[in-house]
Amino acid sequence: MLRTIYLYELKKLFRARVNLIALAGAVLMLLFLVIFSISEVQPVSREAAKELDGRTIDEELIEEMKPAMRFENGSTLMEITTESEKYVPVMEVITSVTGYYRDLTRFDGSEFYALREQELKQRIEKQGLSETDKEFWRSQEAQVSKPFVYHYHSGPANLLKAFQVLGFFIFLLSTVGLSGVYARETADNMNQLLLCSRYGKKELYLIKFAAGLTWIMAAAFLLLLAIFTPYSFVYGMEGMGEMLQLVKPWSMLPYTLGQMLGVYAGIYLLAAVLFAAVTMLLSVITQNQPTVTCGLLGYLIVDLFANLPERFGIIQRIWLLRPNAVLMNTGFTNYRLIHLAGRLFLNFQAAPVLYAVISITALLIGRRKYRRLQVGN
Amino acid sequence: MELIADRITKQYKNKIAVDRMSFTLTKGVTGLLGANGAGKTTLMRLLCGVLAPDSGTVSCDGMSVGTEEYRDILGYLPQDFGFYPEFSGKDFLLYMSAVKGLTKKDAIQKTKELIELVGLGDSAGKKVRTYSGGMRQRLGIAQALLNDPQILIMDEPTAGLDPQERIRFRELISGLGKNKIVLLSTHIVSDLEHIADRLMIMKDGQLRWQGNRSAGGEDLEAFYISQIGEKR
Repeated sequence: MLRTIYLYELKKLFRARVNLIALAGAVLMLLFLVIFSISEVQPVSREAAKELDGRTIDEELIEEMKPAMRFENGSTLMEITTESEKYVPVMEVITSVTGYYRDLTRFDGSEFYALREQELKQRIEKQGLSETDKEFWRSQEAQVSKPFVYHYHSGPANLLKAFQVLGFFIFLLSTVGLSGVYARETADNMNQLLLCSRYGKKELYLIKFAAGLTWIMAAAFLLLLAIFTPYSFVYGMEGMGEMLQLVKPWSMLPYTLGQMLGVYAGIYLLAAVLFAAVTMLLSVITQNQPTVTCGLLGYLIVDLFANLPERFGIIQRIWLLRPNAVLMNTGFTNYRLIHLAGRLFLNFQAAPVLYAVISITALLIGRRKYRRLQVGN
Repeated sequence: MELIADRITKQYKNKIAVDRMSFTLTKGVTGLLGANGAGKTTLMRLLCGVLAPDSGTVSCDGMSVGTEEYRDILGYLPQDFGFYPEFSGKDFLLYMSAVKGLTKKDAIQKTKELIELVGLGDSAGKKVRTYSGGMRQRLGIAQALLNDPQILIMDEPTAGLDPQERIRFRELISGLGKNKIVLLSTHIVSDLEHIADRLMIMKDGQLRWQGNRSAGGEDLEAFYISQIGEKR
């Protein structure tokens, strides 16, 4: 019986017109964004991009690239010819460290790693890390092999950069699709029937919650597929085993792109669970779908634009663990570690735990609230 | 079997919707009469446990309102409620059967029977959003009967039904009242004339009169008006 209720709850979510429209809209928007991002970059054939596979990024390679560079209007550009096309992906790795504003035609290639090290030190100092934290990062950085070895990695690189957009869309889908899970029946007076039925007072809450999670997971996978398919078609997925620093040079984590994609995918899915749990909690508490939707959209604006200064201390640290902050590129440049029970945790480790704790708390508070529900006048 | 309400009271801000009402319902059809705003719907919600009283108790043979065992023997048709537009009539009944705890086999059997009973055989597979008001009301009646309830509470059940459907409904309720506690509210006196065994008359949240239907005499409407103290 409980399984039957679950299946019908799923049916409500998957067949609701607004959910179908939102899901289809999100997938189309993502496809559009991916296609737009692909067409925006300089067209480099996969064959050309693979020509330098296995070359170390060092003074010799940088010198070899210089004839194809020119410094114009304060930035270094690369002339793309049949000969120089192969250098474009390596140029992206180099400029992500040096910046485009530097005149690379006069850059001493031997300084590339020293420049990165110096910049990392400055960033660490700016964030005011403790000696313990600094020591941790030194040990991590020591495991990052240098010089970097170039391998073609466009597919995983683009996928990694796409997670912030995915996080944004899954938040919107949760807001639109799940804000009515517990509120809808109040709006149309169906709760009168449910609350006086055998399973309507207790079990139904958990079943609805499970159905909501199933829906958000299905949506999350669909969005992931909408990003993965065109990128894997255009760029392929070679490069999973390459070093993370080829894409995120300011990271000191000795991980491969594939490992980091796994971490990001996990955080993204847990963030989806978190969004769903919080949306459904608000749905139980307010019993009003428009209120939940407006409240969450208001939060989204704050999330996107509010940048808490460091003087907020612990609040700022927690704020930096929100999904949007962890999934965006700055997640790699937040070197602050979480100290808990004598152990150190990265934001990539602390965030999933925090999301799980908040989700479970939301589930329990919602259950308590649901059991006390009454029909309004 | 006896459904006992003991001094139940419900107040909304400054208005007392149900004021210290006490009564006992036994097997048979009890009609609850009262003008709009008299407190009938609040009373029914209190009896179904979807609304908690400020004071007083409701129980049936020792089972308190709101407990799982009480909900198992309860069937409720609210005055107005939405359906799931994406469900067919059959889906809706199967869903409600599951929420009411029927096994899959019983749910299928009972759904089939009730669809025929309320005359929705031809449109059971159609989406509820395509149903007329009368069809929705009949579907609502069907869901209230799914768990073969011992207590059946119906709030304005004839609203939206056409004259032919009203007659059919009265026959159905007369049959059900033989072995169940049936309480149905209405502000249309003629709905109760031929089917109610007992009557309760409410005004301003208070029980003005209760007794056997026969005590109301031939002209039930005149009796009702005299009880609530209004001129014809």
